[in-house]
Amino acid sequence: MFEVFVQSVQGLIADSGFVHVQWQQLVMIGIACVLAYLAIAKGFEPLLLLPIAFGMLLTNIPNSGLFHMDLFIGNDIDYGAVLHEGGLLDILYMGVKLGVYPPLIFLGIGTMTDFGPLIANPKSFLLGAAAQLGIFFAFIGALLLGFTPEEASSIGIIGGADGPTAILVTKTLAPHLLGSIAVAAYSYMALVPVIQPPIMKALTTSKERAVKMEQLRPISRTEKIIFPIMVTLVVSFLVPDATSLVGMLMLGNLMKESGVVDRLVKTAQNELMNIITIFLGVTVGATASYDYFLTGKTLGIIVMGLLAFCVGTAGGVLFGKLMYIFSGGKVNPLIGSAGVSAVPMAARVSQKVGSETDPTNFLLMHAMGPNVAGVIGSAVAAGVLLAIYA
Amino acid sequence: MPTVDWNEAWGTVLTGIIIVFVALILLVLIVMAFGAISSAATKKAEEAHAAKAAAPAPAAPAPAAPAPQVTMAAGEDMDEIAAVITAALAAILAEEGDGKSYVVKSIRRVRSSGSAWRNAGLAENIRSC
Repeated sequence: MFEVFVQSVQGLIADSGFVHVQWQQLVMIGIACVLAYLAIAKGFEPLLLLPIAFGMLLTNIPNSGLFHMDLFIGNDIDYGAVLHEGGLLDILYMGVKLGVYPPLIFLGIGTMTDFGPLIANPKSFLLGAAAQLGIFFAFIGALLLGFTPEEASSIGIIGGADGPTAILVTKTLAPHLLGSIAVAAYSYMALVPVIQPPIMKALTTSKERAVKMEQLRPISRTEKIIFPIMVTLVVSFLVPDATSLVGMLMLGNLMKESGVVDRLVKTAQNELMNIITIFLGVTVGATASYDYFLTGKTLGIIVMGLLAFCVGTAGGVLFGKLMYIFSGGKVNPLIGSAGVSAVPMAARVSQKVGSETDPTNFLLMHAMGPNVAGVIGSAVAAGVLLAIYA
Repeated sequence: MPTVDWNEAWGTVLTGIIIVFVALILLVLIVMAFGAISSAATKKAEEAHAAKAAAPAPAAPAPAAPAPQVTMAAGEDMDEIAAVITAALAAILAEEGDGKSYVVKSIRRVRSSGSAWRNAGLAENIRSC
């Protein structure tokens, strides 16, 4: 009996993580704990960063067998093998790999987005376009650092400040970088209030920041209902690769604005969105295993991601300055920075920086226009990159 | 380090920027056109409604006030609410003492997309006037 006990204990020890652990895995577990701390204690995008951090922790536990990145590398993925040999996270990851989760997240976002400010001031679309310059700037920067065009496209899309879009592009073009890119994208989105204000202040004068914009016109229900259908048609005809993202975003919005499917709207906003968020976060985190994350490339991704955010912000503000000049001083350039998406955080930053110059200036609703335009703009940019490199 | 085809890379950048701007400029134009059509239709409808309402033109019980658009709570009695609004405006304008007389030309129900709680709150406020 004692012999059996000893043999069992020896077997357990031989299989245990303590025996097989490598120092890189411990480093990754440490990084996961830091990310979890940032999510819990500092409130950095906790809804996604917390599951990502825990997925990262799980995947770096030796012999856990939860996730096997190797099953998903290459053009011919054997999904039968994933189902038979894969772990829990392998099976959940199929939703990422097949491009299911990001559009479903967009469906939920659509049910929570009010496009009214954008419809009231359609010129805001231009600010949403200008803020996508960061994507293409980072694309060139990543190529200079030695990334392949597919990897550079995935890194550039961090500048779109849109997590689901970044995940959709990366899972298609550079799945081995998914963990690093998702962590960089969500971290920078959480840091928007830190990254953007210095750039906004450096590029604008206090006179420009003090501009009070005219009140937006009221929007009819008909306009709000036609808008999502129209955007879907225009964007999807022009860039078919963006249809899954834009189509789902606009379906969610149409459900909300129609007012006839409240039950579906509530489900998309809450249960569906929350379930997908858990699956997406934990599986994206799981892709950050030490052999894919602890490389020089991750450093390059972090640098280029930051650059993409900064250039995107600058692009939006500079285009805002152009609009300020051409409108005869009626447009506050600060709303341009909201074009980087990161809804509604970037719009809040525009409001905050504007109110620092003049506390009676309320830019929030004006900034929401470029903010939601940025979501459409980054989806179009993603569609272009997918069309070229997928 | 992979060899980069810079021609292709700059082509991608140019294509990307142009397509993003073209797509969004198209949307700007379409939304502006639709906005103009919608505004014109609304204005026309308002004018027709105002003309129709102006025919009986009931005089206000006191110096009345112009009240082109008033939000009505669902389920409230129209005449009762019109009387309350008119009286309130008359009281305010009488305080200003500008000596002018006013006529209520129309009171129009604005569609409310708010929640039941919002409508209940609105009705409560109107009752307490």
